[in-house]
Amino acid sequence: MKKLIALLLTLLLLAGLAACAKPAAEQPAPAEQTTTTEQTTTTEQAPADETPTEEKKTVKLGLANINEKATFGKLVKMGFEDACAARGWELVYVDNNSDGAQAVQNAEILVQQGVDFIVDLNIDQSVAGTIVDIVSAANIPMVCVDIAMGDTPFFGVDSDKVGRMAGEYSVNWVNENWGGEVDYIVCFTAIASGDEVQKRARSAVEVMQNSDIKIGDTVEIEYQNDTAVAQQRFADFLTAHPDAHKIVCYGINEFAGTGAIAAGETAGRTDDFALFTCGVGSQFVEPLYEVQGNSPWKTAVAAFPELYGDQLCDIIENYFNGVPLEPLMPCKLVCVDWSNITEYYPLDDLPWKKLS
Amino acid sequence: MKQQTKKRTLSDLMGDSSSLLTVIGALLVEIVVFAILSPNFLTVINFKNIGLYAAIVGCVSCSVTLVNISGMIDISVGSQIAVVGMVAALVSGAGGNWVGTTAASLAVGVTLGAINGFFITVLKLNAFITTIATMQSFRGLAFLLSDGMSLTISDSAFKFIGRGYILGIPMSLIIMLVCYLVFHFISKYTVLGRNVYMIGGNPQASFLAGINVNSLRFKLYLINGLMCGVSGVLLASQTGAGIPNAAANYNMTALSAVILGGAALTGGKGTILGTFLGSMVLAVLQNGMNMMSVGAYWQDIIIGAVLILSISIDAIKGGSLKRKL
Repeated sequence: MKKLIALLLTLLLLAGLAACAKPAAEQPAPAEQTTTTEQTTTTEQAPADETPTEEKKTVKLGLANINEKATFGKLVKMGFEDACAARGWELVYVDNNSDGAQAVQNAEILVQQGVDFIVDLNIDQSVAGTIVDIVSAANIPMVCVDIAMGDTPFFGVDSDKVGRMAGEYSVNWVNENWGGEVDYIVCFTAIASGDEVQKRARSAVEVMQNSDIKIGDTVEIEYQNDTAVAQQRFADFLTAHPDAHKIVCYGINEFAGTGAIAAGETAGRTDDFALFTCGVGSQFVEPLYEVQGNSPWKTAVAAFPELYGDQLCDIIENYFNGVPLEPLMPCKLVCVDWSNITEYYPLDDLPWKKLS
Repeated sequence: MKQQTKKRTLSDLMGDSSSLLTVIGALLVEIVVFAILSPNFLTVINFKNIGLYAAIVGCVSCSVTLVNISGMIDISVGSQIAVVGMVAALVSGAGGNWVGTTAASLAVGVTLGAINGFFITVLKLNAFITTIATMQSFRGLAFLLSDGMSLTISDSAFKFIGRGYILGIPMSLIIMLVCYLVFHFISKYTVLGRNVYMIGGNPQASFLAGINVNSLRFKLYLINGLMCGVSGVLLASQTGAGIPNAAANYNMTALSAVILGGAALTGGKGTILGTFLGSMVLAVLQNGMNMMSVGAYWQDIIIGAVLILSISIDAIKGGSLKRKL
């Protein structure tokens, strides 16, 4: 019996490993090759000797992604794969997995792979100096994305700008719909994400406070980046303030928004608040289509992570053509709401639906 | 002689009365303090709110209590709840009605419980280590199910389970109360319940007395999986989404409620009523602090302090200061 169970477990383990391995059928077209190692995926173009005249134009781009488990990371990866494929570039891909130690190891891997340019999405600022040292020692140009790394050229979301966009949108909305008066401002924070990221909500609060809007009070709700926590704490806030009927809420991402909406719906007080957040994904777009825009969630500022690849590859292309890298290179930002949702996120072409 | 009889009767009525009195005292103190400090605390709508949001952890705490009384542990409940939530969102998204979605979710919960039970009772692996491992694996599974994406649930009938009201009472509160009544009955008035206490108090003696210890433990993990299913359904229906990183702190909240209620992690001691009161202490504390806009970090410190204080009072009453070791 014991032997049988041991054998079954071994077979189960082997079957699991086999199931996790990438099937041959999923490999790209013959022109490209994908090899998967422990941490690196390399998409190679056709051998250089077949296209000798184009050899100089081909860039070997190293991408250290933020974390492939989350939708954001998947969209970034998809965007880079498409952009590199369109330009005939080779993409060397590693996943930092939101882990500083892994990010340092990945920088070493990209250097060893002999890439021409590195794009790094590292969440841990404490290792930024180490990564910069590794990459600059190898004399490889680098751009960091969304989270600053010392003097390294920065591309991506300017959190302060995003917050200000949401703030300006909300000021206009309050003037048009609530006669320029607000009972409470609720700012959803997730402190563990870092001070810089909080600006996506706090800068919006600042814009509102500096406007001519008459404001009752301002409250911060720490929701620990957890929808259920946001829901519970906002529900408690609503209960504690039964007479508040003009509440403006700001959030750094969709988790805060989903939680606030759920709390409002459960309490039957969706008319008492208006929500302005950052980041656009399925949690904002799909429910908004469902209710045909009739939602307290008025806008979300989109940064289009699926377009990072295309925007950055253009910058890199220019760099290799002699255009220097700017210290700050903002990504495309748009306040998406019901009036323009079909333009940016048509229901039949949602970027996250393309992820397999 | 008369006095002894009287004492026994009271003890029978109260169960682990010492712990229960401590936790009832803590609950009353909380209610009085928050009623003074927050004008909207002592309202019907707020108590409905407390019940509504306490239900998710409250439900799974019932079965965690039995698991702990049996001398075992399960720290993978948060991950199990996350998997169930994802399955609910997937089934609902595929067109399943609320009955199908709920049934599939509960079935998945039972399956996850069976996986824990298999390793712990068949392969005799340590429960703590096993559930650390499955906590990781189940979390990975939650991400794998949707490729890491959050999935929205639009079925209003399904969302009613977590958000709806029947005769003005939150549906999730009703579900939680029913669960506590059922578990109280099981633990007090059934052979299974009495055997749980026996195997927790002395598994060797229970085995020699003819109790199939492993079979009972396996059943407890199945029941725990089922309750993770109930909590997962409540979570998904309340938030209106399947979120792979949800319920990350629920292990600790459920264990805290169980310990506050007087259960011993070493087994053999604890009551369902105690756990109910323990989960209410935590829920009221959190609600009161939220209403007073107490900062999140202070909330963590205060909740930890209340837990330590309650356990200390209990331990001191049990003579811990007089013991040399």
